[in-house]
Amino acid sequence: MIDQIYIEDAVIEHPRARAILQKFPHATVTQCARYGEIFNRRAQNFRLQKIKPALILAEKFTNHVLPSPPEYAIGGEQNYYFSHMLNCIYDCRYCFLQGMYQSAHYVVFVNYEDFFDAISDKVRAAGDASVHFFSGYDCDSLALDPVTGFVEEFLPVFRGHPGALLELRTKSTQIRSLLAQEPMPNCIIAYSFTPAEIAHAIEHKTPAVSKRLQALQRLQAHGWQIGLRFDPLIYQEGVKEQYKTLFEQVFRRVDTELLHSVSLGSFRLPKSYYQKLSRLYPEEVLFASPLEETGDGMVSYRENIRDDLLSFCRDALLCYIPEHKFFPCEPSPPFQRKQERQHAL
Amino acid sequence: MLHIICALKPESRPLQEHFELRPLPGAASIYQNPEARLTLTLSGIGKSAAAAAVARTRDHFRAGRSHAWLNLGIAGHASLPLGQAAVINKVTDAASGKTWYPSLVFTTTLPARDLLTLDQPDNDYREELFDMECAGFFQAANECATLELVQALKIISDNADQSMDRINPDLVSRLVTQNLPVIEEVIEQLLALSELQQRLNDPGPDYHVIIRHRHFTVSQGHKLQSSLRKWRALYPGDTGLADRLAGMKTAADILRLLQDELAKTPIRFNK
Repeated sequence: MIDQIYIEDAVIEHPRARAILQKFPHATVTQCARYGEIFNRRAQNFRLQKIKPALILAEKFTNHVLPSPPEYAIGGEQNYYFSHMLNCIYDCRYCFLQGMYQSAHYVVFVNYEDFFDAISDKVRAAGDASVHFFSGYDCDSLALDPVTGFVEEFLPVFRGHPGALLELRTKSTQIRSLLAQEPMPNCIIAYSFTPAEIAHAIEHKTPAVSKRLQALQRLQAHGWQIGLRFDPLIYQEGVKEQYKTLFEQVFRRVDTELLHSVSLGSFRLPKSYYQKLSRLYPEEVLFASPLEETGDGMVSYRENIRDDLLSFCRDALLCYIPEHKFFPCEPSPPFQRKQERQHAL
Repeated sequence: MLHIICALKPESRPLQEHFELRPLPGAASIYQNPEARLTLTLSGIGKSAAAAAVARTRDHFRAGRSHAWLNLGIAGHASLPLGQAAVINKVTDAASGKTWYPSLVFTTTLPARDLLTLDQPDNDYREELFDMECAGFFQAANECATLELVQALKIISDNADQSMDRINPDLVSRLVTQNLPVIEEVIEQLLALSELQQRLNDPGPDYHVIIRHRHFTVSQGHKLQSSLRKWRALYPGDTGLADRLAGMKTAADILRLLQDELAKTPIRFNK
């Protein structure tokens, strides 16, 4: 799976880095001073690198925990996200990471303890305010868990902060570590879905919708709280019927009493990301869709299509869930631009 | 298209024979195969010479970002056996300390190794390969092409037991010849990646037909390319678009028609 590993000189002896290296005994290991030498080089081609991405083991010095996009919010007064990893093993054609990063290589920051400290600092600073943390913004939270040990390492931090809520966003069926643990009332496993026809066409390398549903059901049976994320909503001919079928499929399996939240958001990208993606994948039907600039630096579906689909899905979902569990996502371009700056070295 | 840069004639001779690379008239030390997919440029020794050879090749072929580049030649190593070939995953210029990390996105049976480029020949054998060109090659070629399309393949010509004093032209040619199967494997994969990039960047045959007899401003040209890209995504098998637009006289008419047609086209992911 991974033939090439780059490792920063500073973490070559780090126990977590050593443990990850041991999982890939046949990989070529190359030392580097800083991961940015590889990850942030200009003139890289995301599409070509996605054929055979390398793994980069690095240390993150600052910004371990950042304010999260407002549209991620599911009721918390203070919302943060953190990324122990950059990039994703899946290849969803709508994913903004393809527009944000120069490289398709996976970066894993092995200094988890600095993340733990930053999380604890935010919890303490929040005082009595409800504080939510999101993982899965710059990567899939669970997809590489057998390699990174993310669940086993990060969940105990939140066991120590029962007032703070953690959302793990994923499409993965790598749930072994979660099933091996006592479920936590302050942790939600949030699964992203699009209808099977769309997932099959544009969510490359992801588990099928049916497999995600099986995983979700097993987690719920074990006692974990579940979230459902229909974000981004993707448009094609006959899409309403397809979303209707998806909701039927999902809610046949999900115990809505134990469901934490459901969110919904339209497909949208910063214009510069859209331009990059449509150049990388000129043959992609998604980028030939009826998209338009929304006037705030974003590209999304034409207003009538966007609003019609959002409204249809909202009404359909509210047949299954109470309104207090429903969180529509609103795009927030200033946040996106801020993230671009923060991710640039 | 793939451009090979070799320092020495004995390195290039087996490649010229195997890939039918013929001298290009009016272009000193540049060779090309009959299909014009593969070229070879002799650089001479040293990183400046390698960089200059890249620039000369780029200018001659007007090489765009989708052209692939391969530095192929001999290198020393402490312990690897003579004739062992390797692809390179880290290049360091000993003089400046500057490094490059070629992104290996193709599968190869060859090992991937670090390499140090020296300014002078050296008998101090070490655990990384060393040569005298690779850093100059990467410095120049990374300016021309997408990083994944710039690679190096080195063949061990000397080691601690068999030092460089024993290197002679026949030995070098023999070492290259015995590695021709793996060299060909790497070349074919790089060519495939280059051709994929070429296809993705090409606005398509319709574009050239449409603009041949009509005036498009720069902005209209971009709009046309964008509309044709969407057209190809929605109608991948359609080859008759330019013919259907033949009767339309102005750029504005064509853009309007394409826009209207695209707006009416249903979006279907699984055709």
